Amino acid sequence: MQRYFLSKLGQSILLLFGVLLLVFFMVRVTGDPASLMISREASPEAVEAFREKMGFNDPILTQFGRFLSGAVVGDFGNSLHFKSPAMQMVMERVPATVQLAGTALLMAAVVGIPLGLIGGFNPGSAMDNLGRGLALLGQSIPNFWLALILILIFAVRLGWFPSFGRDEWKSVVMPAFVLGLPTMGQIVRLTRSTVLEIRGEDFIRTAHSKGLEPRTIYVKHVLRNVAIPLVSVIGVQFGYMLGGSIYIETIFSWPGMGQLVEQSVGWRDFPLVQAVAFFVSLVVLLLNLLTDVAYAIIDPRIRYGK
Amino acid sequence: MSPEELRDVRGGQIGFVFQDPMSSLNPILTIGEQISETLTRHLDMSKEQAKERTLKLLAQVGIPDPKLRYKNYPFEFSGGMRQRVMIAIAIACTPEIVIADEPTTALDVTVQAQIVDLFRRLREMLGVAVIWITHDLGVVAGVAERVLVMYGGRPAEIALVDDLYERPQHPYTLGLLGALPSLESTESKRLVSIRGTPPDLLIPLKNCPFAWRCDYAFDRCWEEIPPLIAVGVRHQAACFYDMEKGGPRDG
Repeated sequence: MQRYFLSKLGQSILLLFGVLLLVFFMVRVTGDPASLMISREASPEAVEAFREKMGFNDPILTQFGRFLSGAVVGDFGNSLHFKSPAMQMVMERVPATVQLAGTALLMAAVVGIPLGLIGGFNPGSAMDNLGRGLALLGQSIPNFWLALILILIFAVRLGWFPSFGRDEWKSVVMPAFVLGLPTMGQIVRLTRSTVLEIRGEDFIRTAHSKGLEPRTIYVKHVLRNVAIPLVSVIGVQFGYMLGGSIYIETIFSWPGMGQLVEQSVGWRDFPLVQAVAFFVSLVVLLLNLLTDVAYAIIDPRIRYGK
Repeated sequence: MSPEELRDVRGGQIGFVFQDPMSSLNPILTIGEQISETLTRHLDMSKEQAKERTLKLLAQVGIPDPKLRYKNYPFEFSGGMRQRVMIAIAIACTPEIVIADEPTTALDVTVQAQIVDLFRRLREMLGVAVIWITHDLGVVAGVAERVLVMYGGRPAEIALVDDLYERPQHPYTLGLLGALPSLESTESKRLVSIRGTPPDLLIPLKNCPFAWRCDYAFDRCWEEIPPLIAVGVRHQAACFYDMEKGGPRDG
């Protein structure tokens, strides 16, 4: 268990370094920040002075070294646009994004897992067909389109929910629904197919041959085995939601990290982009690590390194 | 029988050993848990009592160091050991019957012999009847008292084991025994096989299911399905042809 955890941890750290490398270089091929930050009328001397001040004229490796030593302590410099520390700006956006992603995942799991279980235990039933229909819709509707339709109906026509911002509890409902829907679909399908698969396993036949009550068999023998793939998908999806809700946050003007990404990329605000990218990667890697640990707790084959 | 009654019989009065021990145990539950859950289900035992009895069962089926093995998972066991665990589950509640469905097919030969021995020992010790389903006529000769030969989903012949091997009364049994390779023969020759293929059971039978493949089939075999007919002491065969007389059976 300890060795398993340490090797996963080592992998994460390596990955994180790779992310830093990518973030640093990729941002620098998109354009010259100096020409963007300074007005068009500025003299070439002023632009040059700005470059010098920001250190953009130093050799790229020196810049990278500076970037790394700052990144280790969470210092990504000041935002070019807002002049305040970039990491601090990211941190201010974290609660909103966590609230959105958490609500979305909760909605997806609370609806998706029971639907998948019902479908898996009663394939072909009315509830199964409903669940599969919802899953198909959830996974195939483009969510930027769905977001606009929802705003049109529930915000503009009916006025039940606000169309943007994060001022009241109702604000989170529509963006979380849109963000969680594809995951809900995936959870339904995965749960359903895993239940069906596990129910057909030889060891379930063995459990029946022991004369166990169906409920015991479902809970003890089927569900624990279903939890294994489910845990990993939920972990991956949550990471994806935390980092990937850029256009949903933008459409609903949700003041989270996704919106910050959209804005900082538009301004070519290097320190800010780097800080967000680094932070999101860190969160995703931590989530993966957590998923791996949960995995090992459920599955002894992983725990004992087989 | 209602599903509830059936569940009492399963595991309680009838134990079951399946063919493939690699997939017949739940990979994420301990061996001990998988044996003792039968005990708590049928014998009204507390967890502690069940554990104590499970340790005894593990020793009984020849698993060394039961205390340590109790906490192990199936992936830490070899195929033969897993089959021993399956047997422990089957005999846990001292059932009257154990049904073993090709319990040695998935094992290699040396382990097969150990498992057959274990079954024989447990049968003597616990006085449990074993129904052994198999294709392996060698194992049958070593383990069985009475043999029921099935063909096309119907009983073809029932006999005490020695009687069956000495004077098979059904052409199918004869064919099976003829297909066995012999250790004594020195010349190389092709093994005898039964020509043709088994009937399609989706089409309702109107005659003897073996008639298509039978060297002895005559008119009557194509007209009706033969019932089991007494052909000797505790010996019945579902065949209209009398092997010993060399012609149709009387009546």
